[in-house]
Amino acid sequence: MVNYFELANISYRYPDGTHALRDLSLTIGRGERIALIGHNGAGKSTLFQQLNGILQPTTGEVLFNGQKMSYRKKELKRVREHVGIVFQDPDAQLFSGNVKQDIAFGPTNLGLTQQEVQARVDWAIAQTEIDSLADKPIHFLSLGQKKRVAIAGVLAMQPAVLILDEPTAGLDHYYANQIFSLLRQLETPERTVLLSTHDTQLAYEWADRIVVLHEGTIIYDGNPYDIFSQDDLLQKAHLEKPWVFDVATTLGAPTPLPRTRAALKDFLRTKTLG
Amino acid sequence: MLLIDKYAYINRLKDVHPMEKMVFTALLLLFSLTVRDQLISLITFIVMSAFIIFGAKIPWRYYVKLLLLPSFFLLTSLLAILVSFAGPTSALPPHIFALSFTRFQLFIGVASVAVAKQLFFVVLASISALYFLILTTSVQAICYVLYKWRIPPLFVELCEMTYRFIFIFLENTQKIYIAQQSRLGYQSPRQWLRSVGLLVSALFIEVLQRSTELTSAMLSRGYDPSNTTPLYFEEQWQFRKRNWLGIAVIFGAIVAVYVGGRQW
Repeated sequence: MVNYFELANISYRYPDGTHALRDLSLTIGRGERIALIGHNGAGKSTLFQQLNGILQPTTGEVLFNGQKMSYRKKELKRVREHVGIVFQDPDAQLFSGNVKQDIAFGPTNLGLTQQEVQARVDWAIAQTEIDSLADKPIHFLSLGQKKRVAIAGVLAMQPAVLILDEPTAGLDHYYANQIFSLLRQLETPERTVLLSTHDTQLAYEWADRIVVLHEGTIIYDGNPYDIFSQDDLLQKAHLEKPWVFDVATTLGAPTPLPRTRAALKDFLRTKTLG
Repeated sequence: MLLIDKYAYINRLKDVHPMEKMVFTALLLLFSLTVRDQLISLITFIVMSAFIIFGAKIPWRYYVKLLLLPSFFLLTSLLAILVSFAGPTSALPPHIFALSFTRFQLFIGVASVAVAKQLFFVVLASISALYFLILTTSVQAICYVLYKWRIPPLFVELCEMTYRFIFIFLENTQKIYIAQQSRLGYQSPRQWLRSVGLLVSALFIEVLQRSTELTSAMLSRGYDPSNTTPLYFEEQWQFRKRNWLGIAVIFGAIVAVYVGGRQW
């Protein structure tokens, strides 16, 4: 199976001279759950915008579905049909008058018929549980609601690669969890979800691959366990150990380590019983 | 959040087909503007106000407040129309009031009174008609009708975005203003001026940033600037024969009053 993305030694420099990405290589396969972690300004958003051709690397190349991206208009359209990005600030993304119209924007651009657009919109609304908001104007919504509408707008395009830039930023724990459970529902063997977050506990629970970005380069790319035992790396990237991981390793849990609160509880029960 | 905008979504006539409301507004508004008749304008004002207060159930106190908003502009322009000046020796046209000073004469002409009266009534009618539309119909619904009326999609899209951006800027202005106030930015007139300057420049930067972000977001969702995709509107309203009949009867009656009044 061909990987969705192969990034080979890409660098990106903003016009003002800031090196946002330095010699970065990354492969994104099918059906992956990747959490991208890195402190503010590490280059996460820049990396995401490389993936759908909004930004073009200064050096290096990006392969999408095995083909080198040429940044021609037609090809960009094809890429963007398959790669959906949910931006961090929903106000930057939502511009239509009301919720339904905004969700319909992407599917309409795909050239679908009115009926198909309608079906996609209804589906996305049902998936994100925003039925009660469907006819409201955007400025009536709270931040959490806007975030869900922004996700619905991208979902409605049914992208093969779903990219979310800090989907939980500014949300309380309840809504953050809700977004992750939504992501679990959206899993298919083909779809890859890539998200950036600061919440290491949520990343540890959800991801099957963690990528750590630091000053424009990748300093860790691998399973969600090894990273958290490398203290120097954690310190360098300003990361905190997930509490479940911390408790589990302190108590000497066997591998694979429990990743969720429930799994940790199960382990504690067997430990006390045994 | 603007109250006037909020009412557009919660009033009792929100489910009436926007086409009906717009046709009704347009007919009455255009007719009163064309004939410029005091009686017709007054009737238009009464009909529209009745629909706003009893039909849409907008609190009358709020409606009165809204009417007072443009009255400042109306009064100043009325004053400018009413009061005329002439040289100290020139003969005055027919007038109802005059004052002579050594260097000039000030007077209120009969003709200006007529113009001012006409203006007053026409403005009253127009304001009430527009308030009826604004208070009962959301901007999306208005855009939907404009789209159906084959107004270029570019223009309709622009309307919608402008509408959305008004709220983004209001929100940001408010946030910045509160932040400035909480750090004592508005204590003296000097500080006030400085803070307002900073606020405005911050908003300008915001515009640039927002538009770049928005373009990226739109491109990410498959937007092709060279190719206008049809706009998406959901048909959530239904035409009602009763409403069309009502519009025809009201408009017919107003025309009849006008024609009857002339012949008399």
